[in-house]
Amino acid sequence: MGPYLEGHVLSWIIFLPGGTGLLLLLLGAALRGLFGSDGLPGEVWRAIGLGASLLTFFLALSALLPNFDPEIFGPQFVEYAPWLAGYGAHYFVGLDGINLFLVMLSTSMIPIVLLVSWNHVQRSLRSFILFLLLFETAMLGVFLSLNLLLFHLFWQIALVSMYFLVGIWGGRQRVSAATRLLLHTGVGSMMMLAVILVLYRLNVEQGGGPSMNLVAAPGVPFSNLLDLRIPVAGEGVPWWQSQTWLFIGFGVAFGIPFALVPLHGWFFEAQAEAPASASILMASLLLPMGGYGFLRFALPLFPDAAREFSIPLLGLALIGILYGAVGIFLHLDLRKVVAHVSLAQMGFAALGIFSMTQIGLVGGVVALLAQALGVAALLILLSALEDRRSTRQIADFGGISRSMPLFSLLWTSVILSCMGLPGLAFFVPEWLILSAGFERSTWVGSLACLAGTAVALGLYRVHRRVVLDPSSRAENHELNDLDRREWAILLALLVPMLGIGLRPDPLLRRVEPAVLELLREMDERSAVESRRPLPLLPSPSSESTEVGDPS
Amino acid sequence: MIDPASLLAFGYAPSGIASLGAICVLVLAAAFARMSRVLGARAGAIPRMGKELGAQPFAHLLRLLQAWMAALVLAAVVLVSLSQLLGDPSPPGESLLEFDSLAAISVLIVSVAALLVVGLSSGYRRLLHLGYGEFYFLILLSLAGGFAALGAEHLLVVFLGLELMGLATNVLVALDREKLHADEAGLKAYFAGILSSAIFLLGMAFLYGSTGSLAYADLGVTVDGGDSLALAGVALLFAGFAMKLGLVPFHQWLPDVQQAAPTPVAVYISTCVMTTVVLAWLRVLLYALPQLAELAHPFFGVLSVTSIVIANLMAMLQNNLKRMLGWLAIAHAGTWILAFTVTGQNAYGALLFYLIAHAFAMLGAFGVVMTLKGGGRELERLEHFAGIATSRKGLSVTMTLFMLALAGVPGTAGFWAKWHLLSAVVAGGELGLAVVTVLGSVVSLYTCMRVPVMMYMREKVEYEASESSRNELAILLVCVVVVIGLGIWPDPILPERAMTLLDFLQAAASGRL
Repeated sequence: MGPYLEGHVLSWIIFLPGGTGLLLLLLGAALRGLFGSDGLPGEVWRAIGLGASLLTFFLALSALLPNFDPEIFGPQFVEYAPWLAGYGAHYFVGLDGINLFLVMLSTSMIPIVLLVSWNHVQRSLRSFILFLLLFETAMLGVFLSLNLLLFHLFWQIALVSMYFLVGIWGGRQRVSAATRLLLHTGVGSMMMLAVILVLYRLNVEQGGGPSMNLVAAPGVPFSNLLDLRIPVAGEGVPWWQSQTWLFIGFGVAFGIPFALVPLHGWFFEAQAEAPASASILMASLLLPMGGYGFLRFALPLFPDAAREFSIPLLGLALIGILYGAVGIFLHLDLRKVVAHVSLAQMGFAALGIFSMTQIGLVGGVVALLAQALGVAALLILLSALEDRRSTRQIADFGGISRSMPLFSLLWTSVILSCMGLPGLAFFVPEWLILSAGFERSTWVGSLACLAGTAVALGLYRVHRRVVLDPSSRAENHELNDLDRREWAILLALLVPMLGIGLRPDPLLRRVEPAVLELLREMDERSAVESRRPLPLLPSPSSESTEVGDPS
Repeated sequence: MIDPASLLAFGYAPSGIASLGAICVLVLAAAFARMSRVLGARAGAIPRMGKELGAQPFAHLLRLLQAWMAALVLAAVVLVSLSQLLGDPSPPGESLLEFDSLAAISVLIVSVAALLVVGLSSGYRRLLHLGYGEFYFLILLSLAGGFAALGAEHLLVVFLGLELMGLATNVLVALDREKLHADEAGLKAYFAGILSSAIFLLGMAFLYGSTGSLAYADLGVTVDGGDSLALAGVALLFAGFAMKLGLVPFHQWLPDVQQAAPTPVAVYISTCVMTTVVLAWLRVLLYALPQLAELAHPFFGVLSVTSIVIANLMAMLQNNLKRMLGWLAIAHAGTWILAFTVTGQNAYGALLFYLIAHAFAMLGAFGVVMTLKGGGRELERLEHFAGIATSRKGLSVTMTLFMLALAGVPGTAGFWAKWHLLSAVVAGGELGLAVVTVLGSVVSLYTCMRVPVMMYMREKVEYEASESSRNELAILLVCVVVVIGLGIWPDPILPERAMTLLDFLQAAASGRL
């Protein structure tokens, strides 16, 4: 590593894409000023965007992944710089087992999306690339921030960029879909802001001064958010200072992008109207962003309230899986079908996270990843299909296996992975989460099993109707199979999917310490003794090695 | 021998400079009018200046000279208030007008905003058609009144100052006689103005009846919270202020005026005038009625909640951008009043910060409206912005930024403005008000994003676009720099005072340094 990179890897990774995006903007303006026109073909701009995002990805791949120490429990690669000491907002980023793979996911998704949309987007191409790169920077910032205000800043940038991606380059109903997205996430962000204001107040009162850092940072004398004692309801504090209400505030803020069931109203329309690129990013990054918010902030900050709400939240997660399963059966637009697959799998992730047991949380983190990979692959395949047939209606397909054997092979394996077939990506989290569900209660476990079966049945039906069923439509017999670009993209997704499925151990070994740390924080900060003994389990590391070998 | 420096540190300095400037601008206009009449008589027939654009070199020259003169005058006011603020504190005097730190910072904010308004208006071509050059005279005259109100030590001075400001502004509103509804809006502003002044005067009369004095120093000692006459006086006084500020339910005149007024006047009202009124109000609260501040909390709470809720909802429904910005200004004014619901240095410092952020974002938004001219006509309806992003990329990005700032999105000055004010409100224990504000800003986010939606997401409407002037672009650039700069680094350290901006504002708001 060069001297500039040393100690600043995370900053480079965060700001390289967004910085390139802004440079693109300036470069375009300069070219226009000098020559009167952009003067460059679109491929050049695309190549610059692709280059920057690939560079970011390889930086993350070479600097983060091999140097990450799974034995360390706290954040690594920490970077700290005072930003606004007066308000406790600092530039404070760090990497641990929970966000490591989400960072890898974010850095890999943007080049993939640029490649997917290579032939699609023509209008305002430079702004499109700018927003993609800005979104990447914002997502990385969200995943890496250890300061609540910094997190909020990146969160808002991510949502605004997504809003523009949907609203400018989307389908016919794009404006209403984008507005819906904005209103939902806007309400969420403002709830988050309200909670942040209360936490700020509490920190000034209890901690001696403002510090919105989650954990201790060098040179900040005030106590951090995780050192606060946040009272539970009925301790003689105003209602809004109690964990219950603060948790509800964060729950709404994070539950909206997480598409937790009563808060999912924005999701289907946005998925259906977004351009292929934005719909991939929405499913693979925006949804995990909500789950990540719970893992990073809501659970450790308000452990008592989180446990108090554990049962209703598990219920919501189960409803989410069922809702997704039913939607898979009912919808005719394939984009919406895939959106329901996302919803169901996010339900699984939520089940894992809200079970608040060790395996459940590990499963939840892995589910965020596996869902992202699987659904992104489905959406890419779907966009390949849409390019050829200009339709997304399930009724227009069938009998594709003849004309597109390669496509069908990949489609089948991705669908199987989403069903949770052993050896493929989604099996690992599903297994972990179901066992966590049974651990919490037999009811939860069995209901989750049933719902999972329904999802699998729905997926099977979709698979059959798209690929297998003989179709009378002549168009389906004359389709070109996947070309090299599409192949390469899908390969890039299939490798990690197979990797997670066949050998989850390296992944789990890195996620586990962070989850243990999270549980320790929750236990330590729990004020109510009686609520403490949730069944804490022996480490599942021995189990998970078994999980890796499907027999 | 009088030391000129001490004269400038005197309370009359800002309004004195502004009125002198106003007179100079007027004399200049009169001289030009006479000259053109002489020349016109000799050349044939030019009965009135500025009928035909381009045919009147004099009109151009006059407006240019006036604009420069006004800018110089305002720059002088900025310098005087800056030197007062950063220099040695002067001992409080016994006069009707003071130039203490609160007055100095208030004058500074208003005069900087006015300077930018003057800069923006110099590119406003319709101005060439308006009268004989009253625009800059009226702006300076109205500022002279405003500056007096900002440093007042006596209720009569506040009254006279705000009255002068209001009357001059009324004329400004109706200046563009050819514009539809201009007369109506001018009348509305006039009637609202005299009604609020009548209420204000009645309040003053009650207070005088109760205490026997109108000087802040006396009122601060003698007003008795238990005396119903005094309380009625204070209530009337505050209602007068609320009406001048356009708070709901005293707001009906403001959106109409904003829509019908020439754009430079509209931006002048929503930045300079509203800022002046709220800061004059703050001064009354701080110095004249400190013992009633607690008592008035519910009054301010109701005013700000109604303003935030109703104005945000109404703004959402507008299709005229200037009208929408008018409603947004009311909603913001409702947020300013939050600072009065939790008295204290933190809240007042936050209010000053909010006013700065608001002024630059509003100036920027109106500036873009002024800059986008189609065939000499202003584009002020929302649908005029459809698809503009393809041809005017830079302006669209800029407008989006200002809209995000007005909605208070992080990364812009608007976010920190909201943050400071709300954290003061939460510290005061008023979470309910904070939640209302925060929910209001969801609505305002929707409202503000309607503009980028139009610019980026709708199909282009063809119209004849004209070039923007360099002045306008330069001022927009200033606004962008401030809005982003305060968004990323809201707490710059002021080297002269070795304290951060917010601390400085809080110290200044706390009054007599």
